[in-house]
Amino acid sequence: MKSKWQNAAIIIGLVGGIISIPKSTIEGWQTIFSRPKLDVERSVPVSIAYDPKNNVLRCSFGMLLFNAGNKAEIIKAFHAQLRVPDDPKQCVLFSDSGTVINEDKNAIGTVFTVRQNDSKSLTCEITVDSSDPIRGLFKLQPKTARELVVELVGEDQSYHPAAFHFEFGEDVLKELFDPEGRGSITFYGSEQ
Amino acid sequence: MNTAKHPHFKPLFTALFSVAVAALAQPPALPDVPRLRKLVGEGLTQVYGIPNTPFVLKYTKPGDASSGVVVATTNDTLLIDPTPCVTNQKGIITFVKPYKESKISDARCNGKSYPQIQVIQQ
Repeated sequence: MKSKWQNAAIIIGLVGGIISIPKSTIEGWQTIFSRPKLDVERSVPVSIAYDPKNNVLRCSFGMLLFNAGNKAEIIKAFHAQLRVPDDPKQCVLFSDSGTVINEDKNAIGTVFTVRQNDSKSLTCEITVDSSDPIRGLFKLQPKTARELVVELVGEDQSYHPAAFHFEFGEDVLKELFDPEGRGSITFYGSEQ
Repeated sequence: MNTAKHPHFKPLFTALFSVAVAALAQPPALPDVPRLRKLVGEGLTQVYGIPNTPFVLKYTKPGDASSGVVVATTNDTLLIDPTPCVTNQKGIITFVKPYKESKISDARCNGKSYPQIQVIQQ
């Protein structure tokens, strides 16, 4: 009778051990190796507007960030470039100085934190002079494929990229720059 | 003078005018969504050879541009798939006349080529 109880206790102990060891191991691992895991999703398509009075282009788009890791991520820098896919020579880099990042219509700057298990819905606007390199990049027809590549740089120099793809055909060029054109265009589907 | 003779016509004309203005101000008729969904479903199967691809319809406003593969057309509607290389959930973009369309380079996915157009909603 005594041995039956002893056996039951041993089995319960073993089961408890089997259950608790992996859990404690994972918790221990997470404590030692805590790190952010940032997912970047495109949420709002790219829009480009031309302001002929100031000769500037305004490029806007939206992103959804989610930190699934066990540590907050601090975004230290924001890089963006407009380029022709598969052609590294055809590329224009945008500086942070002309970039405004908004969360819920409030500007948050280009350095911000995404807490663990938290998300941020951001809209970004980049204002640049309508310089020759940018216009040249738009006038490369019949090559129409373009991409806006955005990179968020984390505290530990981790890069979180998102690429918006769109086509820049002759009609878009006219719509944007011709005096009769609308002056702005939204590349619907570039967020997909 | 005539108005003074028939003062009861004035409210009647006002009412008729108001009704006419309200009728003219009605928003344009919504597209026949079930029909469009059926056409797109058939179009996706025909273009890619994969039946029952899940999709959502998205609608454009003037100034919106998109490019992709034509999956269906009606007399006044053009529906394009902007992500021909994606095989799961698709967002099909709907353009209603007037719109501008022009041919652009083909999309290449897994060795297959698909003709593409760019469309701008006017």
